[in-house]
Amino acid sequence: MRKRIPWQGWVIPVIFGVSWYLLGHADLIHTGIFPRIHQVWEAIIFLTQRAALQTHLWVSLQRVLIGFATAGLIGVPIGLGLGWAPQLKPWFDPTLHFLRQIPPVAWIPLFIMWFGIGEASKNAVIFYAAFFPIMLNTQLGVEQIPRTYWEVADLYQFTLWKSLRRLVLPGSAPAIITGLRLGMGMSWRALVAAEMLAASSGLGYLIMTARSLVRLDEMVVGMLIIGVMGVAIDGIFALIASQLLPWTKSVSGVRSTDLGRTSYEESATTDTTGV
Amino acid sequence: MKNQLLQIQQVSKVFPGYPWVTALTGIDFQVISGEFVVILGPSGCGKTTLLRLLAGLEKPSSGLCRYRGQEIDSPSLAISYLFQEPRLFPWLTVAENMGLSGHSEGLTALARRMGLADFLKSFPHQLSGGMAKRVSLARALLANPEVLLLDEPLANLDLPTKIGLQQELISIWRRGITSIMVTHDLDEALAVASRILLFSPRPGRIIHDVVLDMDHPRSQDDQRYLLWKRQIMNWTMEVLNHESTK
Repeated sequence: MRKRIPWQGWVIPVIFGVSWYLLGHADLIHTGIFPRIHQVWEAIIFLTQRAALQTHLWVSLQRVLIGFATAGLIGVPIGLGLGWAPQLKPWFDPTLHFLRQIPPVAWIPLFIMWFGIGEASKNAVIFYAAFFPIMLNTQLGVEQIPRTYWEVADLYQFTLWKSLRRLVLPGSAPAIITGLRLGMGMSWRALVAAEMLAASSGLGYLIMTARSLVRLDEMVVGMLIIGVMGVAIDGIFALIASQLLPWTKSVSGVRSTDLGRTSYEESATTDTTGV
Repeated sequence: MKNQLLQIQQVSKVFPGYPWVTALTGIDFQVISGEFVVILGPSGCGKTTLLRLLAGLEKPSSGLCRYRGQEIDSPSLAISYLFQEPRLFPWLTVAENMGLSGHSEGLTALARRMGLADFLKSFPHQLSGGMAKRVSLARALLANPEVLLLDEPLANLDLPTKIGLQQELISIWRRGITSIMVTHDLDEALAVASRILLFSPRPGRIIHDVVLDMDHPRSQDDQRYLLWKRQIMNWTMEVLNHESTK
């Protein structure tokens, strides 16, 4: 099982929350700049009672899941292929590197022209955002399988299928999961950006409508929910990883704090492309 | 000859690079079915390279390696290789690692005989070094080989583990598996070998090829053991003196 968040991790949020409350109570927060904590709480209740929060959240989740799942289904096999057959790398690497540099939001106008204002364009943006971390981490994972293991496969005359099942997939699984976690993070960012630019529902839309109505409390609610969802989904991934990869428990330990330590995105600077 | 299993004919191996390294030069010998050949030589003399050639993991730069008359150009299950390090897949259990060759008949019996029966469901990181080596040996044996190549199998083991594994290797060989072991340790060689090939420092070549007329188990106090030991040490000194006067 994944470790719970250590108590130290709660200290800063609690101090922040208490200060927020006290400053508001002492009338030291200008509500035109930042809402008071009880206003945010009331906004949550209000939005939940009208089912607005649930609807926006559900719409956003669906978009993320569709775009992300497509990116996984396409990105993992391509990453496996490129990692397994290094002779393909010189053909694809420059193009992929180029495409990776273009932030997903920059594609939104074009995607809207191609796919319309509906769901398809948002799914495409999320796919684009999630694809590169997933594909590149998978590729890296296969490349990092020690040569000595490949020799064992040679020695015992593994078939292609057996190599995939016994060596390539399990050997790259930790990296694939890291890629999926990073891809999921990218999906959220791209989603909010897409919804802020062109949508009539979703958490990004919630924030933008709140902005135009100068409802600071609802803006903050949207931001909080996005953050909480991101942490929750990442936690689910960490849990799946620890169940799926029992051998990594004592070796490296798959925990949320390990995110990206050996991953591809660690050294890249595209981390903020979503927004 | 009828029982000739392996023929190594004028084999040389050069690794290109800066500088080019000649690992082996002019290696020529045959292995007869049922031998326990020990290749004895200093570190870096190309012993491991020779085993890798025989396993089909490398190709000679010149010359030929044959198994039953056929050129060895890729690995085959008939020639199994015990790597110096265990090379177990960390994501597979002991039982799954043992069965990697695809042969798993007799797995449980073998595991019992090698003291692995209680660990079949363990993962490699839960094993001690000696235990991991046994799993690796069991994996090599389950492929049902005719020839077993052993790369420094006794290196880096504590004494009881080493003695146990040494006995295991002898009993495997007695069951009819032709064995070729590489080591730099003279006592290890004398403990098991039916024949010793003494290699020169790099580039490796055979400087002596001797058949040991001693039964197992051998005692280090045995007269013939001591004579062989002295003889091989003298040969080694000769080579060193020769090298230094060159």
